[in-house]
Amino acid sequence: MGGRRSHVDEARNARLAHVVLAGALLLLAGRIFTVQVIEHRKFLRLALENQFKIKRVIAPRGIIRDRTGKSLVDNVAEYELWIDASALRSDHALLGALARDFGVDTLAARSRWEAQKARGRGQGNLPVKLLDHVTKEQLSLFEQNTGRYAGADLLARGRRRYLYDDFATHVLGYVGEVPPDLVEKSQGTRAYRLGDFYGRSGVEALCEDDLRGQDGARRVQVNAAGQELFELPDKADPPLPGHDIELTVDFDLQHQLETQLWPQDRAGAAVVIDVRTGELLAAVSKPGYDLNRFSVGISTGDYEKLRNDPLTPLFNRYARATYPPGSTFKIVSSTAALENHVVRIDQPMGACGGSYRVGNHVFKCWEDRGHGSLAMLHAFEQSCDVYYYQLARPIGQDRLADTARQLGFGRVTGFDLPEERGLIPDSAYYDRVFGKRGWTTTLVVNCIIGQGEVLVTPLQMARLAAAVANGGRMYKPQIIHRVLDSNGRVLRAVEPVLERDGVFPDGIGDFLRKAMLEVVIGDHGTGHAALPDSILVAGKTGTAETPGKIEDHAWFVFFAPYDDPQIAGAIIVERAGHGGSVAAPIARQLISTYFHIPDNGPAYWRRMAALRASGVHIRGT
Amino acid sequence: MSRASSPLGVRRFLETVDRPAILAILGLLVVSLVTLYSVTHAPVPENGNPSLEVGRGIFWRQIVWIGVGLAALLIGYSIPFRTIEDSVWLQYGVVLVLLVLVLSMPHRMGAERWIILGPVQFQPSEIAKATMIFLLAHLFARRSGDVNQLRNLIVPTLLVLVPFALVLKQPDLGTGLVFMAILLPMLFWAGLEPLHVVLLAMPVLNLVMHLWFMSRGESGVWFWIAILAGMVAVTIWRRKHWLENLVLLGMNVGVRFLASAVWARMHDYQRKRIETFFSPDLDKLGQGYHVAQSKIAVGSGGLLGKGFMQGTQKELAFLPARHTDFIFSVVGEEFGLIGALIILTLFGILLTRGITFAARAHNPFARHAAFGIVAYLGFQMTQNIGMTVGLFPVAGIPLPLVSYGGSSLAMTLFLLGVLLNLGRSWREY
Repeated sequence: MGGRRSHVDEARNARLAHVVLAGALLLLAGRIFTVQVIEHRKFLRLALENQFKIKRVIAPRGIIRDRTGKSLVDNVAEYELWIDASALRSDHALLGALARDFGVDTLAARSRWEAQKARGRGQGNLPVKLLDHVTKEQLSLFEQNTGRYAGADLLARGRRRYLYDDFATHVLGYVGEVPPDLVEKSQGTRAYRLGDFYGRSGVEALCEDDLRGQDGARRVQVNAAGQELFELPDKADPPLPGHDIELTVDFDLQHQLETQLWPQDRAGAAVVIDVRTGELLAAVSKPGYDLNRFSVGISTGDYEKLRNDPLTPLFNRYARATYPPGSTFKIVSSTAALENHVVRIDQPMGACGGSYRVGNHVFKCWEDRGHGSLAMLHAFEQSCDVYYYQLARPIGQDRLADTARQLGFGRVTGFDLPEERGLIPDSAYYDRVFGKRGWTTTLVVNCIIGQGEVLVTPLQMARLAAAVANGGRMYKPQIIHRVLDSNGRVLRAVEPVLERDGVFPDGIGDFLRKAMLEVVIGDHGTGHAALPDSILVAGKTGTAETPGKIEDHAWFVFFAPYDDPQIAGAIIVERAGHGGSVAAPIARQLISTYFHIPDNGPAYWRRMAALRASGVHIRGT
Repeated sequence: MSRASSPLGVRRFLETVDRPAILAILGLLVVSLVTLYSVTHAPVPENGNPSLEVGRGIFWRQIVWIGVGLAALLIGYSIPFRTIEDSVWLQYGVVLVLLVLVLSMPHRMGAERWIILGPVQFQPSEIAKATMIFLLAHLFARRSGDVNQLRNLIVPTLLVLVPFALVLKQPDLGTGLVFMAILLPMLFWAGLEPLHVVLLAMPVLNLVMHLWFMSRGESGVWFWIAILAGMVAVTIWRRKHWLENLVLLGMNVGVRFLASAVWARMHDYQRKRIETFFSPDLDKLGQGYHVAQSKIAVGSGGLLGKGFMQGTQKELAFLPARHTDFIFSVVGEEFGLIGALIILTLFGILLTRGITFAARAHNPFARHAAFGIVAYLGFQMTQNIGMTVGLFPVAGIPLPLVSYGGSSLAMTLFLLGVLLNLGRSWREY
């Protein structure tokens, strides 16, 4: 029973204790009042948001079709596995389950998230993709155990399916994952997220804005573990599917060209143009590759294999490969000679003896035996090099270059996909390369037959053929025919874009048409193999020499039908030999295909015999 | 004890007990049952995740535990408190043994604080808190001498520090804080001047503030210098207790370097916890989830609440630990400000009565023990409710009498029985 200590003021302490208790209760009451009454609205809203989760619905990418509406590229249902950022950060049980059941590399996912987070405010809260492709077994496993995987989510996305594998590789292009810098740049409702796909090449890239559509959202009621309880249909924000793209390409024509008509194991390109509009009916670059390999994410090894393939399948030859045009360039040379009045059409030049000497340099004609003395029509028909050699220096390097540029060479065609300009050398060019007075006028002798430094793309060559056919109109080459919404309503239809009219001065165009017909049906024409049954074809062969001992590139440019030109084109088969024997037959078959006539092999001799028997003079005037 | 278990004992209890206090206790137990019923019996949405539900068994077990607890209350009420006082050293010894034992127990809920003996599981730290109150009351009752003198502080402080250190090792920061929250008020009740209580609390405040600055990547050196300067100024002004103030000054200096050293050795997740404590809004889905969700639940309740069994946050299990540490959030959501004020009022009545008991008892042990019990419950109540509305850090402290929790509830009711006894028998000694 220890006594009270006198120095302790007990009454004061009791009062103080009551005051402290009252203070604590008031502090709590005040705070509760703030939260429940003053901030009530804010927390009520948060409570409602708490219960709903907005789930992304990825818009289906637009379908790509050919000009007849045939599907070339569509989507197959595919599920991706994504994880919420918060779960990735701290839910070790979930990560363990995902690693075990789905083989997810959680470390890789984590570093992916770290990278994403480093990209700025809010990025660290976005979900992260774990798997591109969930198998059927994994899908059912996930759906039967949603509780175990709460925090992870399946996201439906159409995987790009290229219905004909390597068909029109360099027109369609492929899709790939959006790179981080593009994710950063994109904004608003059409912002990309890491893990999204976008068009990386070809029409997939060209029409990305039309194809991708706009992602939607579902609002679902969720519990605290993020599990969906049910969907709120009235709050749904459906995705806007991407627009469908209708190409100008004619599937049958292009497919035939790529498969049946193409010589095996040869690289090369072919372009077929509608001469009335500039639309590309076929744009072939061989070899191609299976685009489907890219839509599931190509492995580095596979990609390296493609990259290192000696035939360079990744390279778009029809618009980006530059070749010496060989004798097909004589269309340009003839135009230059005639418009500069270097020679008259009917004026024979010095006799071809198989070669031509300039100073101490000897230029050979492809025909060792020589062609004798010819005027332009037959020199063109027989592709006599010596005839053109003689015109070269009178025309001169710069005037030849002017004509070539006027006919669309050495410059872009305006094509929507990436293309090359090629090269048309002029004296300024040679001055730059060889130095002033470091070169002689003998160079033009080579250029005039499409050798030397001259380089053209198959697309440029096909456009030239189309311009000859349609009377000198140069259209922009087009690959997109129409853009339609997902209900099939036409949003945009391509209009022909006439870039230049009358590229051939009076009379020269008519002459070239006749000369090209002569190549196919003349007695000594080099392009007999291009003539099918029942249609008149005009064309020009070319055999482009390439450095080294390898075989020449085989060229053939053409248009058909002669009387009412509809299509024109250019074909080049690399390292395959003569244009007349390799490329011209391909042209004949593709024309037969396009005009739906049976192909019975080269018809020249049969038709000549028939025509002679009937006494009709088919040479024209 | 035999009296307590007989009907006569119960009748005697009802005749003699302090009416407002026992009604407040029973009121809080009713609130607990109503809330737990809502938590466990509200319809779960179709397709809900069963793992997130709080089983209905929780409700029925709480009823059993309340029965056990009321029996413990009767026991506490009936034991002559001298019996308790006479055995404080024995109790202290047993508690130390148990606290060492529990360190070897397997982990549970992330902290080693349970002793499991077959079906019985209990936390020695619960017993430790009660024993601490009795031991300190005993010391302050028997020893003469001014607690404002440093030499008179050393023994009680050391006696608290031993179990405190063992509890921290578990690791259980919340219970450690409770020890401090028992010691300081009891020192005050023993005559420590309020200014000295504040000065003694300074190292703790300094520690918390320093962690806050570090979590923000600031040095906070000016705050620290201000505290030290303030203490120097107070010491010079009062011209006494030089030694005590020098020691406190040293502690304030030391705390800063200790905190820096500890911070440097912390894991990222531990730092994250501290950062989250100071700004829970930064990381709603991570560490701050509990507090953010609790505030949403309470705040969305508004003035009148969403109604019994109508809480959506609880129902969809957004509210974690909603039957234990965060049970107040459920009350706030379903019964609004009215419900919250009812709880505060009941605690206010109970604790005011407790202070009155402590003030009017003639026996020194009774005075100190009663105040220790009041301080203990008062701190738990303030910390727990403050935590659910984002005022205080999450420390794993339940709301006395309301939270689900068997041994803790029984212990609390036992202590309240002792308190009621001390209030009843103030004239007897």
